[in-house]
Amino acid sequence: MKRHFNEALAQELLGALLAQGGDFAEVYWEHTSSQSLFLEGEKLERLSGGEDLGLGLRLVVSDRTFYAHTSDLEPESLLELATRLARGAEGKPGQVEELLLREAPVRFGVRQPSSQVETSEKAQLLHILNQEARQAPQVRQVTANYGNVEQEILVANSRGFMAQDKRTRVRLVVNVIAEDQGKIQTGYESIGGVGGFELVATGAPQMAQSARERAVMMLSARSAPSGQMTVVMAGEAGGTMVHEACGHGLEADLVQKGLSVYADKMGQRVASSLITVIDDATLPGRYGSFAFDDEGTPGQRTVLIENGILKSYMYNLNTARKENRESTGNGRRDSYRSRPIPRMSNTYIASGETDPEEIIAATENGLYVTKMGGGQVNTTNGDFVFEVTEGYLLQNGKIGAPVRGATLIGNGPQVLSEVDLVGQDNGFSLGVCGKNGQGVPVGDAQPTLRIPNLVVGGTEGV
Amino acid sequence: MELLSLAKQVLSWAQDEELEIYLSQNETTRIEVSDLEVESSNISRSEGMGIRCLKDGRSGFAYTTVLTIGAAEGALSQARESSRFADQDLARSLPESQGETQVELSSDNDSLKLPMEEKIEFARRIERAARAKDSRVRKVRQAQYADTAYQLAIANSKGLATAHSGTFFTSSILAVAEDAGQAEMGWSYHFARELAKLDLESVGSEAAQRAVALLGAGSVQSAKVPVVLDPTVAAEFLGAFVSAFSAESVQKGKSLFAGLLGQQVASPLVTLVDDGTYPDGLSTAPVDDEGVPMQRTSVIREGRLDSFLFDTYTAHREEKNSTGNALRSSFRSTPSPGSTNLLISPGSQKPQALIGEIKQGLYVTDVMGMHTANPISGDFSVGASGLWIENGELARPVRSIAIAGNWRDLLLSITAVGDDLRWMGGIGAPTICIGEMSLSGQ
Repeated sequence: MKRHFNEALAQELLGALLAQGGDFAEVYWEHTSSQSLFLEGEKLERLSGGEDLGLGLRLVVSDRTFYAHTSDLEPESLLELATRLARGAEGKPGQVEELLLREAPVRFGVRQPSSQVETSEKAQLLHILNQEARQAPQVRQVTANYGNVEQEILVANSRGFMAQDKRTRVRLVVNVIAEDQGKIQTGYESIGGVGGFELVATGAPQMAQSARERAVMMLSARSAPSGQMTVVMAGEAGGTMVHEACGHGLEADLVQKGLSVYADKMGQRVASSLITVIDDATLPGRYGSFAFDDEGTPGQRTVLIENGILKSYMYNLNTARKENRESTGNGRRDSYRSRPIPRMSNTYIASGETDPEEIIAATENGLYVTKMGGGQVNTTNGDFVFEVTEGYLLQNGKIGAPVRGATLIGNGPQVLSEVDLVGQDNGFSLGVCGKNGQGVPVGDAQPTLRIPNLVVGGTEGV
Repeated sequence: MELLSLAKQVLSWAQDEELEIYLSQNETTRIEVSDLEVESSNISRSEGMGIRCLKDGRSGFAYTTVLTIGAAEGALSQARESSRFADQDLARSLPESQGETQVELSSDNDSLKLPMEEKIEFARRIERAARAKDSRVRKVRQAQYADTAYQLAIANSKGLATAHSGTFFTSSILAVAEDAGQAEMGWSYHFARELAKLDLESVGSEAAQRAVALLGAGSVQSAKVPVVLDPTVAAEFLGAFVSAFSAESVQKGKSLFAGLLGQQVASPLVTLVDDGTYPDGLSTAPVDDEGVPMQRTSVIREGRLDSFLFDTYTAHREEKNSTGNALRSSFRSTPSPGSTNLLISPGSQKPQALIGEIKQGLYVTDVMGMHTANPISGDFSVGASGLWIENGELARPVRSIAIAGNWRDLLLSITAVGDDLRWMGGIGAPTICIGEMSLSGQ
């Protein structure tokens, strides 16, 4: 079946893990191959590829998790490692159900597998990005990255669940550096998702153009304002805000430990009635999509907040077990090196009913955000930040002068309760989300939103 | 050493090309405790190799986690294949041989073998100290103890062959304090190369103190005020802008310090040193990640820009010598210039004295969103929390505010440097005071 690994060995390892007892055992095999190309200084200078092969073993004994991983896949050393982990339990051998392979609930089509595309064709994309991005005299440097990843996993657990999944992802990134009179500004764009080369094959010219235009425009932009103001976020700006403002706080591990402002709020109002938040791993092509999560639970669509009412947290097997419920298919890990924890997939605020242009027209003064970057949250007190990489002043209901990047800071439950207008549109962005040192690919989206009060961390007096 | 012999085997396959093999192997044990119960215990074994192939100035790279002859053959042919597509750059080359060396850094292998129960107890001690410090500390996200043994080997077809090994130990905790319906978080971290030097109790009590100090925090009015960064925050700032000192950033027009060598780029109070030989530093090693001996490099001397950080390639481009700053994030990546142990030299003022001189200002103990700072333009805007300074006293906790500015302006407007140097991994900084910064609040 799999190189260096098969069902019989999985069964044997599960038995060894539960030899001294325990509630749950799991074997996770992974083979990832990747290729990346990097262009800078007009030169294709870094090309690399590689393969990562390894196995993670997990044993759960009441509330304790024992985890081990190795890239040494010799059966004897795997059994030795499983036996070492099993010492954590003290009791009679646990039961291992017969392994039964699950069918994937969804399949993501790959039209043009990246592994079958010539390296020269990938290189060509980077040259297109470079040429297109340099069509302005202020551009000093262009960096362009291409990467594709093919990940095969096999996960089997003592309850008899076994799942196989093959995930392919592709990503294209450009960063443009423009300079004028000693001032430097940058413009960044990325595209990609779960799928094949088709996801990036044609988008290069357009993304290079928008990155270039942003970098050049920011040279003449004034500094962002400082202080509290009304903020309108465009649908095209991406979804960093929802990811930080409520996504992380709805992950069950943080909730169960009482480390989230959303703990003990099930069924209660946590947001304006205009707000519905959904996590959906089954969306085709999105960066955070998967058929199975990294514990073999089928990816699914989970309504987290419905019309402002908290409906569900995001669970993996371990956190679900503590509440005697089913996993929501949010158990993810960055590789066999890490144990799975509750993570988002594609998280978004559902579209509303207002025309985005009406939202702008209805806003007398404030900040209009058209591109968001990264963010972070303190789930304990709910404070979150997100970066605005393209924004404009709103004056008398019209889009005014561009302003430079700034961080916006708010409090999750407070901001979501105050949202007073929700647009009909929606726009996805992709990113790599970090938690407990593990990075996983995610997608997120929001419609155009108006928030009456957010602190804008610029440097200009309001 | 086993790793070196595998490396030499691969080198023996070299054709008319230059080859470099980088091999690493490590084993880590990590214990996480919460409510004094073990939440997880992890054993991880990681190993892998990266192969660089250079021919006619074209460079290719491949890696694998499988340390067998067969996998090495596969990786080598992949690296060769990649190099065919790379654009030519004749400055690309591998470092010259320094002879064959094998070094064991200060290692504490005995402590690695301690029974699991003893290691669990270390993590519990961290949590107990946090709870003992203040009764308002009700939860911890994780009290963590970890130990690691690592081995590295690098060899190239110019005859370089070097290997080193060592150990390190870390302790950390995220503590949560609660009072009157409000919850705040505080964290702390320490590392050492020997277990005996690892802080446990003080890590717990510091995190508790940080969390408790923020209870009752509110916002403040937007203003331009003096800002004091505690050493952990100063180190985080320095870490975010390290790439500005990389020769690669300079050569590619991505550094705000390009063209400023010898000029005043910071307050005269600022001396910045990169020191790969710093005793017991996290990044201390006999050689960098392409086998060049690590050294001490003055980056900024009393405010004047002294040197950038070079690897072999960037040094070649300027006909200079590498400063021993080739770094890789792992065997999966090619080397490029970075900092080893980078520190802002401590000054002579006690942090309390430094705060005492400020009439009204902000003492920052935590920042959020530092990864959004732009190391190329130098612009930053981050969420901040800490304590409001009123007439030289820490008056009340504040959060939900942002501080913003530019890294270059920040360095130039440093008005005081504390005597309390503290290492956060490979970056060390004392308390620093910035004359004025934009603060956004209500």
